[in-house]
Amino acid sequence: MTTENHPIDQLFKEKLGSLEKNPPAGLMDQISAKVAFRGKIRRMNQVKTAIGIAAAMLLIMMAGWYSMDQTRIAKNQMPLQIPQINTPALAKTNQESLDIKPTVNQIAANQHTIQTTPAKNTSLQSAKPSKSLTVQKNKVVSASVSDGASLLAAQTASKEPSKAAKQEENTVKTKAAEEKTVVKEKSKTESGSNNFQKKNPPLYFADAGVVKQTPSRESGKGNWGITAELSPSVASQSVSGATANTTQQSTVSGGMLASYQVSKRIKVSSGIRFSQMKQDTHTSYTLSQTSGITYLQPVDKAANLAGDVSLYLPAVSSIVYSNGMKTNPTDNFTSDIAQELKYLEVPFQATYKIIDTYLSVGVTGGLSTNFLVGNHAIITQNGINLSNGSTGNVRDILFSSSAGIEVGYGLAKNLIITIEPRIKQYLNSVSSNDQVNYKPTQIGIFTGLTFSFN
Amino acid sequence: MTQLEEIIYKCREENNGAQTALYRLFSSKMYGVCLRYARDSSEAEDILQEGFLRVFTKIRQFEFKGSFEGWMRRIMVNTALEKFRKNDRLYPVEEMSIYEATNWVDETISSITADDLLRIIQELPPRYRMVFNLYAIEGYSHLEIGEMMNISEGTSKSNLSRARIILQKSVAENFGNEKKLVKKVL
Repeated sequence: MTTENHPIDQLFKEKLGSLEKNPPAGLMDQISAKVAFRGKIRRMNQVKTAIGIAAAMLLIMMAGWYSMDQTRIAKNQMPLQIPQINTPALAKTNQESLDIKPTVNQIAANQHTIQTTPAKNTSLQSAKPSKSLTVQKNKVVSASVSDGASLLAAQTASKEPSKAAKQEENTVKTKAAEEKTVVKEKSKTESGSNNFQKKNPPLYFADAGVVKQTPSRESGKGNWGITAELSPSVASQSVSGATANTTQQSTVSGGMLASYQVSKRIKVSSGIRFSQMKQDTHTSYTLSQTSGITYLQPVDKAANLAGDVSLYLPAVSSIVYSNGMKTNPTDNFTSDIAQELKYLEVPFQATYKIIDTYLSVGVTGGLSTNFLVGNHAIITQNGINLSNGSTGNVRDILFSSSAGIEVGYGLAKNLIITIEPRIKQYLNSVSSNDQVNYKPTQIGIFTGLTFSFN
Repeated sequence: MTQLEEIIYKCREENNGAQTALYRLFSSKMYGVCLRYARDSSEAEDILQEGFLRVFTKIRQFEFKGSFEGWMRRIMVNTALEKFRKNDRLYPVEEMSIYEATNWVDETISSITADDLLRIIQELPPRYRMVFNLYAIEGYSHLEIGEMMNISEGTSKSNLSRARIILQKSVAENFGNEKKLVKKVL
């Protein structure tokens, strides 16, 4: 017999195919209430998602901008150093002045030359950067000319014979002593000039490069990096007034973080991380019905987080067990409840490197803000789902602190793999219910890959 | 723009009045669908409620291609299927050896009311009820049913066959006079 002609099929299709029955009154009110509830949750999730995306994009843009800026400086903007006052011409001049046989006039002239040198160095090096390089060069040139002129005057003076000079030639010892003094003074003066240069490092300009010199900085300082990390996590709980048998379940956490190397050993990072909490509870419950919605309530209301599970069901006449037995909604019954809470975490953490080699070891600590993005509960009995719901009185925002030990190994120049055992402590209770003080401690081993933009 | 289209557009804007109007327009038809797939009125209400929630949530996805009523009906059927998949393990598959592999056609069967047939179909084991509804009333093929219920095409055919046998027996026991029935061998 063909399907189309089967009498049973035809009978049921004719009678039931266009069946219309009025649903019970009040059902639309329940639907409206649930639509409003879901709309609120959806809008909240949209806002959280938007904030998360915006934060991630901002971090990526900042990292990209900084990376590009560093590249631009390195390639196109060679730092400029003001030429030192000891130009070859001036150095030669000074050398010549030392080679000249000293006379009183020469000594006087050289003293003048030597004494004026640091003064000119000071005036040039401490001068604010001029807008025009020509001006700077002019200053340098004029300085050289003036020093040359003073030296010329000294040399001219030394060549003119005089009685005083003849007397000085006769007193060789005195002259030698004076020459020694002048040399000491010159040495002292040059030393002073060097000290000045050390205290006042050369100025740098962006327009041209006379001397190719980049600012020295500590290794890795100022670098941006981005890290992807993943971890299995287990949790313990801190529950007050618990009588129910609750077991924490392992979860998975992971996310993306941007980091900034503040100094050689200190790194700060932030980003987005997904984390979860899962727990199973075996306890006794009663069902109560209000305005057509069925709520599950634990016998011990102060038990723990499982005490606030709500089931959004229409009015039920009975609960069907796996063996086919039925129970009245007002009767107590024992079942398992699996609860799952999902969070988007925005961490702010710092890492201090204790050992900084290819295999680095550091300590990490930080604070996080956790935004609730998922809330799901399943009531099961003998492994069979009886109904779905959610946990009530759950806070939308939680704060947590974390600490860990980060071990890193450089896979390549810009790529580091890290393993970090980390402990995370929630600072405020997951539940807003005064009777439930639930601040779990989670332990995870985070494995991450960090790429540095340098 | 028809009145229905206007209601649909307002529902997209999450207008409560429009949602109520849409519910009034289609709730009785959709409740009839839900009753066929549910084991009782309580479960049917549950399916109807969840189904309408999905309609209101996904109404932006309706592109005015085809019948809106058909679109809603598919949502109700899918909701019922999802509920069936979740609770499938609650119900044992009935042992079929107790039924005879015969097919009955009742000459007076047209006098049976829809409520009677509804009660009979609700007494079917859930998997048979699902397959029978999808094949005999909705018109899906066994291949499609297999994909929807995550079973093989052969299992779908087997379930349909057994559903027919159970329904025939129930009809015969409740309403048939064996003398008035014509026995046909399959």
